[in-house]
Amino acid sequence: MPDRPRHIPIGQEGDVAVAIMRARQQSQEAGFDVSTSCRIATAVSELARNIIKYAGQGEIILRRVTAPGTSGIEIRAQDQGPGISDLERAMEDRYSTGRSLGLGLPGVRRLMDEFDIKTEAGAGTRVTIRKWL
Amino acid sequence: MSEKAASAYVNEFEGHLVGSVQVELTESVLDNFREHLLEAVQRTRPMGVIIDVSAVPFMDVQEFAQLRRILNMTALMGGRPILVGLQPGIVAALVEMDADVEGLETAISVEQAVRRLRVHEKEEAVPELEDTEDEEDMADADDANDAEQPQQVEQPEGQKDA
Repeated sequence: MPDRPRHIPIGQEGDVAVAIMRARQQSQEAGFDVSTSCRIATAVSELARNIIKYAGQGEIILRRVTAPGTSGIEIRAQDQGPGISDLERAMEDRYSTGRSLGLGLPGVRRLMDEFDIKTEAGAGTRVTIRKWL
Repeated sequence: MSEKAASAYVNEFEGHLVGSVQVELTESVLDNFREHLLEAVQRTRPMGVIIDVSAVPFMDVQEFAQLRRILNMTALMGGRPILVGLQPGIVAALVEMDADVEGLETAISVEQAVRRLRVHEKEEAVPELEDTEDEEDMADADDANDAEQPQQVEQPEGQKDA
């Protein structure tokens, strides 16, 4: 089903709540159960909070996606902030290293089926995640 | 105020406090809940502080951490906090996100929490020999065990001649 993407500007605490609400709503509309919708919303919340904490502002884009035989949801979180200087470390798990950068990115990756991140010092960060039905 | 009162409330039950949150944990809901709860802990001096979140549909890592801080505060005041009713989807997401859940006492329902507290209360009400041992430090407790029930202590080879 073609579906126009929803843009949610992120700049303050209240925007996180909106992003969470929309993510849960759209996940359930897309056919995910309550539990999976919770996981998707948790990932969205983490990315939205990262935008506020590290970039000040940015946006979350939610959209339905399809692939042969299945469909799902895609979330893109993007900002023009300072970028992540040590991406490798940001993706390291607390389990294996004893500490993390606190961005929650390994957790976000665990919650979703696909995870992609592009970041450049001084130019910003774009995280794209997908969950399939 | 009435809206806030409906979204999170605190009741007394069998000498315990049962706090319940009925909506999503926004910052203002949590702030309001914390104030009500801590005030009630001070006023009623409960043994258990049972926090029921079974009606909370969603909680992210930060909201969970904030809720935990409130539980820690009640513990600092002398209550025994027990978290009840986290929904499966929330639990799964929190654990995947590596949220700090260590040392948190939980129960599957308010009833279970109350039953557990009742048992604890009975144990506390009848002081026995074991209870006084609990008060002492480990070394003393071990000594007492050695003296009374040597057969319960594993006997390392090197200590047999002692």
